[in-house]
Amino acid sequence: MPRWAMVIDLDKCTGCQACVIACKAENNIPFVSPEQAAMGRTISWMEVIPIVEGEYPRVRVRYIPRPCMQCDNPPCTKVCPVYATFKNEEGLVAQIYPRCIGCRYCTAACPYTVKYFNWYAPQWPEEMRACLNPDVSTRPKGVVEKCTFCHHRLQKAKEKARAEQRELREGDYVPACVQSCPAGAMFFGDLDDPMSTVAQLARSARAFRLLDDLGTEPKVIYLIEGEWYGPRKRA
Amino acid sequence: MNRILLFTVILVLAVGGGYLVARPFSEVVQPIAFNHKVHIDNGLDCSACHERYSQAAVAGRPKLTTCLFCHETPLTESPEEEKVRQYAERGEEIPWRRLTRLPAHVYFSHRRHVVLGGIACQTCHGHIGQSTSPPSRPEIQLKMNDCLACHRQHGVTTDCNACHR
Ligand code: SF4
Ligand code: SF4
Repeated sequence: MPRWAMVIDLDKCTGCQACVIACKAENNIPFVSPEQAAMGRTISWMEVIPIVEGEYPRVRVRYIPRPCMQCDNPPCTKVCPVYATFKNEEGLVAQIYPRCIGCRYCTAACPYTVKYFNWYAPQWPEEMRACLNPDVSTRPKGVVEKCTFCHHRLQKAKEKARAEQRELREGDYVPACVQSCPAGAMFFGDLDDPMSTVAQLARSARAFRLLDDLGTEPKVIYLIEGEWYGPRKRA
Repeated sequence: MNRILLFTVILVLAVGGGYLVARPFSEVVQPIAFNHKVHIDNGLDCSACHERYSQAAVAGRPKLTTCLFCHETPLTESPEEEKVRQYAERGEEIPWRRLTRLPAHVYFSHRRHVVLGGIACQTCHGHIGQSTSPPSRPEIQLKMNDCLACHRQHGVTTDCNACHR
């Protein structure tokens, strides 16, 4: 059984936001108005967080693309009263919309703040309706959503492999953000296969995980040269 | 007297309105009174018209060209058969309506179930092949429990993520 993981090389990331847009298009992420955004109701499964270091004129900006960490020990699933969010046997933290009662316990429990509540029924301009991805359902008002590692792509990839009477190969299943990254900063695959790209990169000395000491065991692994001096946790 | 009348009116509105809201499916009316049985009896398989079942998630409703393959010239005197050629003359596709629908948050693939899983069409579609006129609603109204029961019986995945999207 694979254990799906993502590796993001921060030294390669240019902060171009292609992953953010790819995710929004792939997963039918609804728009919010400026007023709603001001209330903190923007939905963005993938977010590029800028970190500005130093002072003018010696300023340096770092970028951290931040999807759901697909924690191996996820705090969010433990608080869900209805099993709407849970970790499946392939390590994917699922979010089953028709089951969700919208209590938002998981939203509060996620230390990476990647769970988003649908405050409104989703709306798209008329011209965009035909662009919605039929492989992903649109979410109703009142449920929580988050990055799924594009698991709808896994559903299709598995079926294709089955039809071709073979096992799933590396590259059969890749989320939209990884596929779109023009800098080649993102990698995806099976962490339990020691020969996979992600497993090899995860062993690198440059590898670290966000808020690792919380014990969440994220399956999104970042790479950076030297000491990581991004947002520190409070001492 | 007036009160009874008012009460009756409210009752009728409530029940009628409730029915409109709660009815499970709207009635499906097909553009042509298609006779499944006659086609099956003449030796056709489901796949003769629902061609995409082996390649795609949806089995597909037949294109006009598929019908014309046999019905280019009249085989019977049925006015319903004549409609096929009328559509052809107008250069229109036949707007077949979909009978069986799953919610958008479910991924169901015919290829996966019929070809790779060897499940018969009848398991989910019942006796549609024996119908002589188009039914207005599906014989079997699939519920998630039906899916799960079958998945358990065959020992295949019951991971929510395998079907929900
Ligand atoms: S908001 Fe939904 S997924 Fe989150 S804990 Fe509540 S029911 Fe579970
Ligand atoms: S990052 Fe948050 S939403 Fe994702 S698995 Fe971890 S706790 Fe759950």
